[in-house]
Amino acid sequence: MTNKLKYVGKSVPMHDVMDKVTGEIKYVGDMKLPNMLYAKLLLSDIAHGVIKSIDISKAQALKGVVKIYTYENTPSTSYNSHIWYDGLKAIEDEYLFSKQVRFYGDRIAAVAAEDKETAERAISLIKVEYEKLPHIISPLEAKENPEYRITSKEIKSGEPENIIQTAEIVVETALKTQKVHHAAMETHICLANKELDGTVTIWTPCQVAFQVQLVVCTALGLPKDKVRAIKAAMGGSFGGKGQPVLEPVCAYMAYDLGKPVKLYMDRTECIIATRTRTATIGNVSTAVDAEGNILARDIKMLVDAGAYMTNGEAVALAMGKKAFRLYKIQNQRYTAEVVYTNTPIGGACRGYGSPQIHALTEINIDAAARRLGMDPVKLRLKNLFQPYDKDSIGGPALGNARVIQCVEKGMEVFNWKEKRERPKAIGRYVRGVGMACATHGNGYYGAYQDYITMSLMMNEKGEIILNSGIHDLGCGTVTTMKQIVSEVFDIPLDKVTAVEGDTFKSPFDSAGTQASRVTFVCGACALKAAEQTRAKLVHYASRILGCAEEQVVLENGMIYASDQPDKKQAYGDMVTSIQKTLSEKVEVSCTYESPANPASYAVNFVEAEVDTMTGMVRILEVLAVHDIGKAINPGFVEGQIQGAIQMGIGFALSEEISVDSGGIVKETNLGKYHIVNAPDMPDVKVMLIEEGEEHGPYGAKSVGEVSTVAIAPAIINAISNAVDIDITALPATPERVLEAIKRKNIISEVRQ
Amino acid sequence: MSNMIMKTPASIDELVMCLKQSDDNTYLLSGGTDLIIKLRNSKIYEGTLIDLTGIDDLKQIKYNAEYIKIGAAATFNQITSNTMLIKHAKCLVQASSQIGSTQIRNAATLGGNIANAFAGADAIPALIALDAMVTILKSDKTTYTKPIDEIIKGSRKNTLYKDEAIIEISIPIANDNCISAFAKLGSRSRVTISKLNIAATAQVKDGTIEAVKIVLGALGTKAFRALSVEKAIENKDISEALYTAFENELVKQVDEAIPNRSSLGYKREAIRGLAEDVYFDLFGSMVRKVKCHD
Ligand SMILES: Cc1cc2nc3c(=O)[nH]c(=O)nc-3n(C[C@H](O)[C@H](O)[C@H](O)COP(=O)(O)OP(=O)(O)OC[C@H]3O[C@@H](n4cnc5c(N)ncnc54)[C@H](O)[C@@H]3O)c2cc1C
Repeated sequence: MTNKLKYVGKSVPMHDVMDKVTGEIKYVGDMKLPNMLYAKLLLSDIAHGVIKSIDISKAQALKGVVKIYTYENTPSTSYNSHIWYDGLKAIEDEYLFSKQVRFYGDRIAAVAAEDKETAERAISLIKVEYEKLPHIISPLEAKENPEYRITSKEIKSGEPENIIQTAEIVVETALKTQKVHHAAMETHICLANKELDGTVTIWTPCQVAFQVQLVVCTALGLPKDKVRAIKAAMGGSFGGKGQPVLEPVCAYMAYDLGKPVKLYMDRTECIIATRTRTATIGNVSTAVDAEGNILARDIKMLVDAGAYMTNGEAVALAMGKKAFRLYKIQNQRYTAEVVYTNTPIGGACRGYGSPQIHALTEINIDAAARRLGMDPVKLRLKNLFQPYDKDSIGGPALGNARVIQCVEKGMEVFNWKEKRERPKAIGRYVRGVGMACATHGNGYYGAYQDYITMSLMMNEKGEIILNSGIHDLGCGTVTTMKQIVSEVFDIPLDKVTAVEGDTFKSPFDSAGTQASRVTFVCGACALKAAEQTRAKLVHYASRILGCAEEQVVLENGMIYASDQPDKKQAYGDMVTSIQKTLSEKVEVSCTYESPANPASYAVNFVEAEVDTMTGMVRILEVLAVHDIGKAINPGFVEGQIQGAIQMGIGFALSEEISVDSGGIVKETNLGKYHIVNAPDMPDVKVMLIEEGEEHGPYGAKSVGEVSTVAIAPAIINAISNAVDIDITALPATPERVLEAIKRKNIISEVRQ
Repeated sequence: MSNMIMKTPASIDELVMCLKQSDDNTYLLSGGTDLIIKLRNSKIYEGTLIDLTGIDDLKQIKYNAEYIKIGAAATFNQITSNTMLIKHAKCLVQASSQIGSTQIRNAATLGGNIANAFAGADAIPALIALDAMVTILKSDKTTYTKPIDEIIKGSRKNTLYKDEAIIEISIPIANDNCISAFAKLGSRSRVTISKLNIAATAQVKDGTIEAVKIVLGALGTKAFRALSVEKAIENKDISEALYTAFENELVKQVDEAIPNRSSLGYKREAIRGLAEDVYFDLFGSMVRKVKCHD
């Protein structure tokens, strides 16, 4: 089937691209219901404390204010917004509104009002008195305080401690990674309404509608059949809308008032009070022999969950596992300590820990190569996994792991050897090249339940409706599903409709759009549903046509018996006949449980230029090589990679949410939070290695997250290559780069 | 902003009428690239906006024998494409071309940049270096003209009264020996607020710097002339050695300007990068010529 693909492997445009470019698409921000109220949040302006009193009298008196909510008049049921299925256990420490303030940005109150302006004004009229408590912003300090320590984790294979103690060459690296804002164009927003029958309907640009439903039910104490979450048009997420932030609050207000309520955030609120990439402090020791074989490795991560638990523990585990799926290291230990701090909340962020741990370990691999005087590519090639090698801690099979091929092909195309050996410029601008490898997963198999149910139906016009709880985050999920279905039936994409998540209408999906599972797991389900429906169509058609099933031909929307090629009929006509004569529907509902979780790989090569006078780093060129199995839509894949590189450059060089000594967030708008923009984007070349993965639909595996993992360490390695400095904290801002250059110059002067 | 009244004068006379009625809640609106953000952040919902961009006179760039006269509502994209300015006020053109993005430069105006009086504003140092004069209209229809430096108090404050508006910025046309340059340093190469900026003008004759003005921005509350740097290179022959003196003197200036700021460590180093940019932009060809003679 795979040799002559007609729809899969083609770069067709996204299903809603016209709506987006013409501005016709209706985001939640554009939605308006009759009698809709607008709601705004009051966020705390201290980092830690207890509310002594809240005076809402002035706000309440404002004309147009409908109701003000605080911890005093709302449910105080605790929940954890990270819990995406019933039965998943995690510390529940979140509330609709806080009495205990745990960070600058904690939710203190909400105002529902007749218009936006009134809601915003009322917020500024609420007076809160706090009793301040000492705050902790440093994870290192938090580690020493039992109230801030959450949990610790260990993953281990072999006996790394002994080997590291006795090894001749042990290379140590330390790296701090920062909190990062997802910076989706659409800031957080939610609309909720109470229907006549008491159901609360929630429209939200979310990643997991069933999680929204579950978390809202928990927080509000409502049964699931009274909470309906509908995935709305998404203006970007990157993990930022993975956990429900506004939904419980918005749903409660609508439920309480019996009116539609729209709760929205501006950029500042979105930066400080939603979720961030989990910050880490990492240390790694790697023992190598003189030939460059990795003998053992010990990784220690201090994971800063921020003010609330959310996925702190899950992300600590997820990142640890990645360390065992890139290099063959028999003796390895990963330990993580997870702590709270009085800083913005950590959560899901593209890569889910992978960018953090790979930054540490891939910078370390380069340091090891430097110590050995070896080409870092050579060192990697010696140790990388081969296809079908085993995960060293018994995790899910790696599958057709083609990372070595990525490195080898990439090296050639990038001209690695020549660029690496080129003499360094003497003068202000110095160029260097670096590279890094990375791995990420394909769903939850091996860790959590991972299945989805889809129903697929062909109607009397030969059109197909695929009903499932998918969520297109702008990555092309809907079109990808359509391409898979079109391929099975040999019908054009415009004959296939794939609807998105609605907890009252979609068959259940266990996990939503996260964990890089959508193409690999949901796509495989779409394929299964399409194949089963096709088989059904063939079966009934054979009865109608009076031929054997093997003789039924489906071709370009027409169906016929192979010995009667002149009697072709349209699929729709056949469906009509089947309904009429056999009283049967061409429809299937099927559940697909993922049987595997292979590794996806990315290898990035980077050329960077350092301005040694200002510390500014310019990325000149990036080559991203991906072990993708099979690209269902190469255009989407390239789009994912281009965007991921942009995100990764920001992580490496300029993006950071930090707090001052009082715990107050410093980067409160995009003027201060520096995202890489078009003029600073390098030429990004994309190369796909398509060798097929057994369980992926048409051989496909994930790309959305892994694509942002290798870029930061590749950049840091390129900077080191250019000016021979150690970067010990991300982002490598001009300030940090210049300081490192100065430090190096002082050291070398002393040595001379 | 439902309670904002928008006035759209189409002439100076109409503007005068509007200014007459100005009160504490009246705001002049040019490109709005600073003002709208300020109104939002300060939660200002009521008041009057006087839109200056409908007054044709304020959008012109004209010149006579002595001055280039830039209307206060001329946008930065107008400035960067004006041939007279390219010839006689290169540093202003360079500064303007690095302000924000194309979209910002299509809206943002020179008058707005001055009135906003932000320490890191890019046009202001260039205007100071060029000896620009600012003409202000009062609500009694009279005008007065002052050097730019006197208009700006610093920390987003200017000396204007509520019933006054900047209407014109005049740049004296210097002789052909006058050269100028501008450089800035932000967090990325484009659409970035200056951490440091520097504008310079100089008169050069036969390889000697006869007069020079060096203006530094984003250090402290307002842009200022770096007099000791000027002194270090004035009446000196252009050379590589002079560059070193220039650079070192700039570092000292930074030390003096922000002795207690945490950003000092970086800025005192990074200024060297800007020093190089500006010095070689101004004198580059001459440094080489001098070298050839050696
Ligand atoms: C994304 C972005 C990037 C930016 N990048 C830069 C940059 O790189 N460099 C830089 O210097 N600035 C930058 N700015 C700031 C801003 O664009 C400039 O300061 C601009 O010159 C302001 O002009 P405006 O016409 O938009 O002023 P407005 O916002 O209309 O007005 C600014 C202030 O001046 C007052 N005002 C306006 N016109 C007059 C007048 N004729 N007389 C008296 N008072 C007046 C207003 O009442 C207001 O207080 C940026 C802004 C944004 C949003």
